[in-house]
Amino acid sequence: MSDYANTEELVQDTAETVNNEKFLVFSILGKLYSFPSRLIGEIALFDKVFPLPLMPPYVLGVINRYSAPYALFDIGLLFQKTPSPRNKIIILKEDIDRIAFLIDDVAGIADIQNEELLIVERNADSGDLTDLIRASFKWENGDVFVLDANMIISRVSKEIA
Amino acid sequence: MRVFICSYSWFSLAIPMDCVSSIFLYQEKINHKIDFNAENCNIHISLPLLFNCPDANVQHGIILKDGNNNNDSMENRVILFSTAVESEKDLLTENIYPLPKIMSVMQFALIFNGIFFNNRHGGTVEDKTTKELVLLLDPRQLVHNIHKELIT
Repeated sequence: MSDYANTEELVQDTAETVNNEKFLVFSILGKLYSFPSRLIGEIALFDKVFPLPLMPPYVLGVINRYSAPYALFDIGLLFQKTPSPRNKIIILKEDIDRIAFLIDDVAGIADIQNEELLIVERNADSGDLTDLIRASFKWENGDVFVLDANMIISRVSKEIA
Repeated sequence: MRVFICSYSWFSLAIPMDCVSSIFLYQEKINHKIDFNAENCNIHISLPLLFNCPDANVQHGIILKDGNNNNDSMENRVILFSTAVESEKDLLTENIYPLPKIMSVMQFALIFNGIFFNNRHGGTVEDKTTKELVLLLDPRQLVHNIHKELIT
């Protein structure tokens, strides 16, 4: 009996995990964006970026994280063609890539049910930046765009290659 | 790995010594990023122009080793022109990081194959303010990509 109850609890927990997801919400130039929290390795204050030659303007260079170089992207330049203020950085988990993003500030953590996500219909050939937005949701009376980290990486790769 | 170190505006360049045949003084202005000499089949590469650092002063020519170990001939040679070779350094390969994967498709990756942070003026490892960025040149890859016209 207790084994069955434990199994039921585990299934319930798994269902809750699958049915909602936590997002790290951050602001850039007055707009709210987010990444799924599971992609985030670290949030840090912006300190110093080392510019690199031959980079597109939205790749500011590399930052030094415990002696490892991480590529630093300016989402403000990428999306809004305006440089972001250099306040904080979001560093993705290393198993994705050594990449960081410049942000204004962290707004909070949003716990969003799957049904609350408005999935963005993407046209593979559109070539515009809406490709980089996976979904959106309402949070604290505002709209938050969920960025697709893998699409950003893939899009930048295609643009530059 | 032993390297020559050349300073640029916002980074230092490390050139593996095992790729270098000889170095000579050269302080004349170079106007072309890549120049092919039809007579002797030499390739001249201006690293300041390649890196978009046109204000960097060329001080040295660096003759790369011939792949056939025929280092006495002055034909079919690749010569890099760079800012002054300021020092030599022994690098531990475990301190050199490969490029982030996203950079693998950038032109940057056609020229460089490693990045590390070097302590400047004997600062401590933990003191980030005395760190300088060093980019490891991959001469063989650079020449290969020039021949394939991936770099023009």
